[in-house]
Parts: sequence; C-alpha cells; structure tokens
Amino acid sequence: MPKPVIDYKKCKMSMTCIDVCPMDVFEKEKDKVVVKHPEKCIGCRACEVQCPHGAIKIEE
Amino acid sequence: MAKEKKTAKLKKKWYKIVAPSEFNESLVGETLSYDPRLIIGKTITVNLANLTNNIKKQSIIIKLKVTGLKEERALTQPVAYSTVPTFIKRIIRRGRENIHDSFLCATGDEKKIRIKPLVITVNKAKGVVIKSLIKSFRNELKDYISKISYNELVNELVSHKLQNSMKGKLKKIYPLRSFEIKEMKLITHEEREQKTEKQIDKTKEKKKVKDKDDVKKQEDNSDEKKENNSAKKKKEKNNSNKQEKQVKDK
Repeated sequence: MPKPVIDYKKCKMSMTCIDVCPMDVFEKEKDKVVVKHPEKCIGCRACEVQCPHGAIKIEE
Repeated sequence: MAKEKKTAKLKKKWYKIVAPSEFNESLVGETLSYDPRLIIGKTITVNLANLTNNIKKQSIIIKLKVTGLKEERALTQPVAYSTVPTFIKRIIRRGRENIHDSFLCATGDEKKIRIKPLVITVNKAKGVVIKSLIKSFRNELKDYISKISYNELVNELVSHKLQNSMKGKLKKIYPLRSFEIKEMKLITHEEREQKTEKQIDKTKEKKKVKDKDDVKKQEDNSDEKKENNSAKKKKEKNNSNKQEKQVKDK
C-alpha cells in the first residue's frame, strides 16, 4: 500500500499537498501539515511531484 | 537550501469511463488525470460478465480504448476480444483434435483485424480432414467478416452468434465439439507501420548476415585454393628432385 511521508526538515508549509491531493489524504493541524488519512492514498504521486520543497515521498 | 520550484498547482480530477452504446453505456471504471485530453488512448480491460450482467460470459474479456470525451465522461470503443486461457485449457482434452489458427482479415468498413479461431472436434481426425476444416473456416470467416462492419462483428462475437453459425457450417465436414474465437484484435495504422518497419529491419539484418557469410566462404575458398596450389607445387618440386636424383644415380 502506498503511504506518503513528510520530511519536516524540508517542509515550508506551502500547503501544495493539501490543494493537490485528489483523495484528501493531507490536513492542516495547528501549524503543520499531517498525513491524516494514509489509508486513502492511491499512490498517484501528485503531491510528491508538485511539492515545491521536495518534502514528500511515497513509500510503497 | 533546496531551490523552490515555481509551478502552478494542478489538481488531478476523477473522470468516469463509460462502455460503448452496445453495452448500454454502463460505468466501467474511473481514472485520475490533470487534463482530460491525457485520458484519450488509455485502455481498460473488462470482463464481459460485468458488462452484460450475465455470469455465463465470465470467460470472455474485452479491451476498451478511450476515444473521446463527453461531459467529463470518457467514451470508449472495443479494441480486442479474448477468451480466458483457463477456459481454453478446460475445453481441450485428450482424444479430441484441437485446431488453432491465426490470420488477418478486413471488415466491411475497412478495419483490419487479427482473428484467432479454435476448433475442437469430437474425436481424433486425419490430416486431410483437419486441412479441409482449416481451409473452409478460413474462407467462410473471411467472406462473412468482409460483409459486416466492425461493430456488428463485435456484437456477434459477444452474443456468440458467429461461433454458432460457423459450428453449424463446419459440422458437415466433421462432427465438432465447439468452435470458439480465441482472440480478435483491431490492428491500428500505427501498429501496422511499426510491424512493417520491423520486418524491413529484419530482412536487412538477414541480408547483412548472408553477405558476411558469402564473404567468409569466398575467403575460405581462396585460402583453400592457395593451400592446394602450394601443396601441388611442393609435390611437383619433390617429384622433380627425386627424378633428378634417380638420373644422377643411374
């Protein structure tokens, strides 16, 4: 099952992943983005490709 | 510091894939894409049991290709028809003759297709009978397919009409257990071009190999001739020396 992992050292809170994800896997919690529903991920890699800081990786 | 990419945020959208009108435009699947134009050309394989709600047809698979878009729904066309290998394995048994064939033919609307029929007889048959069966079903199928359009052909295959009519005709030659179309696929213009290019390349390679072999053979022959000539010369020299010695001795 694909699972997105956020590298918080690289993340600059651009929120691209939240806007881009077709399955609404990511959510904003307080002042950081979290992988709220990893079971929904279909591995389309839209977040991985479009993150401006390269902070997301999809683990199979 | 990693450089920040400046790109517009694109969200992938879900698009519904719909079966052709012959199958009541039922929903076949969904696909994700940034742009609906990117979906065109994608293929999806569907079991006929799901399309027709008839469990008897679960051994048939149909390949659909997206050809257009209409109100965020991808419209499809059937590209290939095939039977599941397990079904074929089930009907082939010992003591029966199974005849496999594959040939190209054109439909009435000038679409090229490759068709692979499978004939199973009741008992073992002789070579002459098999030959006549192959000849007759090839001619019959080619004639029949050239008279109907591609969509009609797909409909007949799906409803098993074509197979039944062919079985009825071939029964007169030798009793048959079943007549099935193992595979039918549409050959597009691009595929044809690719194939012809491949064939040309193959023939070129063969020619090159042949030329190389010929050159090698010629070289070998010339070497052999040289060796033979040198051996002959040596022999002649030896003979002449012997003769001289004999003359001297005398």
